[in-house]
Amino acid sequence: MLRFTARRLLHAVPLLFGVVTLMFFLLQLAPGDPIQALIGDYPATPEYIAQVTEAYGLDQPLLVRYWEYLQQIFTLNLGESLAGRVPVADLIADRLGNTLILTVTAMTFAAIVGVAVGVWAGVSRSRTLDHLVTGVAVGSLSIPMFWLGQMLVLIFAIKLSVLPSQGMYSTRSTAEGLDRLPDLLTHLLLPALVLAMREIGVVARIVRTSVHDVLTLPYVETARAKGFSRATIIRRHVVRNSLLPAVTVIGYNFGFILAGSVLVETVFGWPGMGQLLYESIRNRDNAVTIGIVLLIAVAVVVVNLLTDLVYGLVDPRIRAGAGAGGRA
Amino acid sequence: MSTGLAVRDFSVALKTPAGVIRPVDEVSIEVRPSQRVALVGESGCGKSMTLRGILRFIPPSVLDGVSGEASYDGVDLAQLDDRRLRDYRGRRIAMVFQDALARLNPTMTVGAQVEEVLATRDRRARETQVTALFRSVGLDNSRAFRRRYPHELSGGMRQRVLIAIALAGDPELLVADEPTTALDVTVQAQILDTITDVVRERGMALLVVTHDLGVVSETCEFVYVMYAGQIVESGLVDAVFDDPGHPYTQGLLACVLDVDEPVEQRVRTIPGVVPPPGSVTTGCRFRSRCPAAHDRCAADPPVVRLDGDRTARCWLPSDTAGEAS
Amino acid sequence: MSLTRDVVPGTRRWRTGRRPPVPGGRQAWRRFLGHPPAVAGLVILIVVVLVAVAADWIAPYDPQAVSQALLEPPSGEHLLGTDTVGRDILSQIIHGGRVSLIVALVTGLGTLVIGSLVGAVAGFYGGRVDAVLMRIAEVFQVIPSFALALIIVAVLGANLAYICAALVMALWPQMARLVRGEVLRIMTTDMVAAARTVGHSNRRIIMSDVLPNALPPLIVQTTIDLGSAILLQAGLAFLGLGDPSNLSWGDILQQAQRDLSAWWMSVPAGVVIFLVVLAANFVGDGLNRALRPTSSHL
Repeated sequence: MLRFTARRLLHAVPLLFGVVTLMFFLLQLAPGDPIQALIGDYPATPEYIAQVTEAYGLDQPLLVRYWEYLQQIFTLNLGESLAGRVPVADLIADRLGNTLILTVTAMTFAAIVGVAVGVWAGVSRSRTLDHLVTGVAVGSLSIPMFWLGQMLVLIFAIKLSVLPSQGMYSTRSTAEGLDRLPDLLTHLLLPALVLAMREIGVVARIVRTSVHDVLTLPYVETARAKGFSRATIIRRHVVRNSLLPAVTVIGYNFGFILAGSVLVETVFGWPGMGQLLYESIRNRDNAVTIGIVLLIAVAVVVVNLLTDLVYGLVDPRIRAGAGAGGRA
Repeated sequence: MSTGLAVRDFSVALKTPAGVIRPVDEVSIEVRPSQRVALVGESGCGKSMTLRGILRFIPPSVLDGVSGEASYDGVDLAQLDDRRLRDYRGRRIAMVFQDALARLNPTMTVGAQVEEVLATRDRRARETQVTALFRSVGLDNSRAFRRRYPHELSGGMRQRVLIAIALAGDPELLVADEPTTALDVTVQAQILDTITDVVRERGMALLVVTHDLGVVSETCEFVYVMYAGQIVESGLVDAVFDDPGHPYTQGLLACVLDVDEPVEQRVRTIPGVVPPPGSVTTGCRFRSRCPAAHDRCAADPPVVRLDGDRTARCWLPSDTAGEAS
Repeated sequence: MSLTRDVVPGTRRWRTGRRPPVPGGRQAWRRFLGHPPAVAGLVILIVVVLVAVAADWIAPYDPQAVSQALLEPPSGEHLLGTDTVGRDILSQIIHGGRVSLIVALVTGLGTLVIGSLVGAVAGFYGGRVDAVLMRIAEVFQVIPSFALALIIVAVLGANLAYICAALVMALWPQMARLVRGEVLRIMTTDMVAAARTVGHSNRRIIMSDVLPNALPPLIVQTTIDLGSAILLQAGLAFLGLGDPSNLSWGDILQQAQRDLSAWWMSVPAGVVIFLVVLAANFVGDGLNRALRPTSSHL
């Protein structure tokens, strides 16, 4: 397991490096003056431009700037927001918690519902259920996530007035501490559902196929020869082994959820990182935009790494076998 | 008093894209308590399907139906509901399969896979039993070994784990489907020894399905020779091997390597292949490959009682002996 | 595996030909037609293309023309109502289809070309070239496609060309991986061994032996990419990263977000996006069944 961990870590480092490099060159690609790109449309005085040029070392050659950029990133210095003159890292840190509440809820939700539906569809011999799961899965992959959110707001907040449509807490609420939880949950329900929708479909489909496949494996017949009931066999021998692909899908798709949260937060006015990103795009505040995307990419690399490790824990074959390459 | 496994006129019909076929056609087999019986034949002759049909391991999606009787201790297994059937599987009739790697759950330790068969709730007692089982099948019974995963073991060890799983339910009848195929020759012999040993010690009955006549002679007393879905000969192993009554059995025995003969004659084969199920419906199914084929072989040959328990489904011995049924 | 493998070893007649046919053309078409969702998808796509081409003639109003009728619900005059500045929604949807389709087609084609090129080179040369190219692909893949497209458009600017470029950047790695896998598979066939023995150049082997045989999965993936491109573009537009001079369906939904109670702004545009993407996915699945009859399906 230790060697396996080391191998996966060794794989993640160059990946992170690559992402940072990509971001740097993207900035260089910006049309016209890189200073202008950094400042965006923000009205700036000549002194301010000089200051930015100095701060970002924009008068230096490319490779020097690249080196300094790397140093900055690895000291978690993401630069300053041009609009508010606040360090980007602080801005993001303020919003990160709210985004995590939303995304982690959505991911948990997707995992539980997706696995449950997938196992159900996989075990059931009903073709109708099979078709239904497939249909919903394809549908959830084809529906624009933010539009689904708009529709739910239209139905539940505007027409039925049963759920709030915007924000994390009611403005009129006076509750403190833990008493705010019910309020938070009602606000969380719709955005988390929308964010989870796509993954529910993906996970359910994978698990269903996986259960189908495992059910035909010879060791399931061994379990039947042991005299176990179908329910016991499914619980002990099928579900656990069918979950392996689901672990990968859920982990690897965390990035989708995180990226999707940008859209969902915008629809539901959720005060998270996504909304910050939306604002930074409107203000052409590129330092913030890049900082957030960089963070998303780093989060994906880290979560993928964790996924690999979990996979190694669940499946003894992976940590033992799997030569240098492993899975990409 | 137990009467063991009794299979009479047992047929299995399967659904295929080409229509319904009958890979098992009116097969009769008997395995009395403590008796060691072999079902032998070339691959594709229907011997595994017979076994799967009797023990109801054919998925409903391909099974068209079974007919005849397959009873254990007088209870027809085909009539049992799922719950009652489970009382027989594992506890009274246990199975050992070929391809042990695929037959073991890759994500469970081998110890746990044996342990889960045990009925007792007492964890301590279960552990003691698992230890004893591992020892009796010739495996390292240390805790560390029991915590290993199937992929960490050799082929022979995995096969022993499968035997331990089969023994864990303390069955009366052990059914082994090609238990040594795909193992090294030396390992094969050891596994066979282990099987015969545990069967003798525990007074269990044994039904071995194999294509390997060596396995038959080493482990069993009684043999059924199967060809194209039918039993063509049966009898005590020694008697059948000494003086095979059916040309197919003769051919099979002639294929076995005989080191006393000159090299060029050592390897013999029966020309041709087993006809696919359903392609021959009347007459002797072996006649297209039989060196002694005759006009009358186009008609169904009788089952002839040769002597004692021996029978053969052929016209040849019928000239000299009376019909069995 | 796929049909191609069956075709490969036996029928070498068209091996050196310049343009080998997609395997089993007529049969594949029959299989496609035998799958109702695929046919429905194809019909939807054809209708959308026709509407987009004929937008100038069938749209009742100029989509950009403002009027006094602000935020009006559907009526005989404006079948799908008007937006906050009085523009006709139906006309916007009809014209917006053009933008979505152009983006989808350009992106699909760009992804196909870049992905195939990188994938073929990586698979063909293997070794270090392969390792480096796949690592680069991984860097692009590790950033969620929507985030990657978003940052590129945010930095470069929101016009159609940059949007397409950004989407290609987001989608190419998957295509490259697919092509690489196919190339690796085909490289081990007798056909390529024969071409090598005869002394054909690497380029010729790639162009005339490898790529044509990798075609079926590529076609399927491209169809799916068309749908992804439409979804991603709609998301970008929704965040205000749409080309302001070419309003698309996503832009309508961005407008709608200002006042969600004006359902006539959000419902039709979203339904149209959903239907078109669904259609693309159905056609992709149908093509998969048709061109690779033995592989697994949806």
